[in-house]
Amino acid sequence: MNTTDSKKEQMEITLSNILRGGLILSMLCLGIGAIIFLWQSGSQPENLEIIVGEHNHLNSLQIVLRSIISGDSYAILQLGIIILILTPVLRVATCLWMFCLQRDLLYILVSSVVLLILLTSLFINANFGGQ
Amino acid sequence: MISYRLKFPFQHPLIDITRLKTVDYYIKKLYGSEKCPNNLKIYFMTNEELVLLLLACSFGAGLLGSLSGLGGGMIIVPLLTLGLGVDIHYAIGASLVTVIATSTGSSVAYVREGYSNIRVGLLLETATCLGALGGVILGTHLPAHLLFLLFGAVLTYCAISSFFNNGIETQAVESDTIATIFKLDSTYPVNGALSRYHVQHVPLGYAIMILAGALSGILGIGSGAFKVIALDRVMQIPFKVSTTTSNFMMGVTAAVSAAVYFNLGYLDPVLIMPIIFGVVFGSIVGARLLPKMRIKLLRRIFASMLLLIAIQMIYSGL
Repeated sequence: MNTTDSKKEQMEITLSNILRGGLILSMLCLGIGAIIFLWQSGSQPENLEIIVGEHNHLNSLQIVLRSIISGDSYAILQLGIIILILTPVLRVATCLWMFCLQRDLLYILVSSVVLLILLTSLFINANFGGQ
Repeated sequence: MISYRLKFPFQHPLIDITRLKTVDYYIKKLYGSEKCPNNLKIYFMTNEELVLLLLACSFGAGLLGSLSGLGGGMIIVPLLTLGLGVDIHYAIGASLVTVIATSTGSSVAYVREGYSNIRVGLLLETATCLGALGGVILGTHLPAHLLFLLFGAVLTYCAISSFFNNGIETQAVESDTIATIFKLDSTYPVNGALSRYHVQHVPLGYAIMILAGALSGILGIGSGAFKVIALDRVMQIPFKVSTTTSNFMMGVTAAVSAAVYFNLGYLDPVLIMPIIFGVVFGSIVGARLLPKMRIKLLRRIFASMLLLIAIQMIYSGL
């Protein structure tokens, strides 16, 4: 086996581990959140709040973390979802880092573009003031 | 804009789950503009029942998605909107997160075994992510009935094309110039040995990927069917590499759209949690069952079912 093949294999194993780690962590949060949620409010009726132009308030990492400290099971579930969304971001960042190690200029550029689009979407508020 | 999330009143505790109309009745009743008919009994589920119902439904969706090869997202959105009366934007948000989960889960094995082509994936992700970013901004501003129509049309296309699924594979023997510059040619395992393949027609494949990304952003689907067309038919990548690379790309593409939906507050954890578990478990069981089944007959049956769902989607959008 030559060096490019072993490099390819090395990269595949690292990426696979990152995907697995993210998935396990997120499923753990969702599982724990689900147990606490059902424990606390399982037998309660689903609230009938008809929401007029109002959305889920847990829409930033700070709010989610603050709510977890105050014992909100919704927030633990939401953290699981955040980790799940961030797993592909971390995967692309790892690709970028590995291409940096290989000094592969073209693919440093390619993975930077993907990462840039991902980061844009993380900070974009597509509402543009309309509602 | 009125969004009713997670409200699943029954017309009767045992019989059918309400359609949009009955929720509208309830809204009118609450806001006093129209009287609720006397014979309409509204029963509210407990959280336990809600979680169990979603778990069971999404298990079925995951099973169907994995057996038909279309992915759970294609079935989750109609299930939530037509079946349970969830606002379509919440349904799309839930579907996007599910797509990330299934893509990540299956990529763990495929990437390690060396099927997915990481360079092809990354290069084309620039196209799908750009498409998804445009698509999700457009999608969040489109009125619901247009989303229903578009979803119905895409579902019709996928159902019909899976009828004519002929596995003719053409493989190029020579390298393409652009593919050489981007070092796209690679190897994949066939019966224990590594087999080499050459990637062709990169620009056309790239263009189709922008479209696939946009559809994914607008409708919350993985759009694996379109990605495989670009990879398999146009770029002449072996089928096994095409499907696994498409799967690998799906997670990043869906993450772009899911992040925007998250920021807008369309991701509801109590809706999403049972769906993720259900779909992931359903697709694992589906993947186990697949080798034991008569694929051709199965595909035909599922395609006909999807066609019916598609017609229902279009009908709701009119």
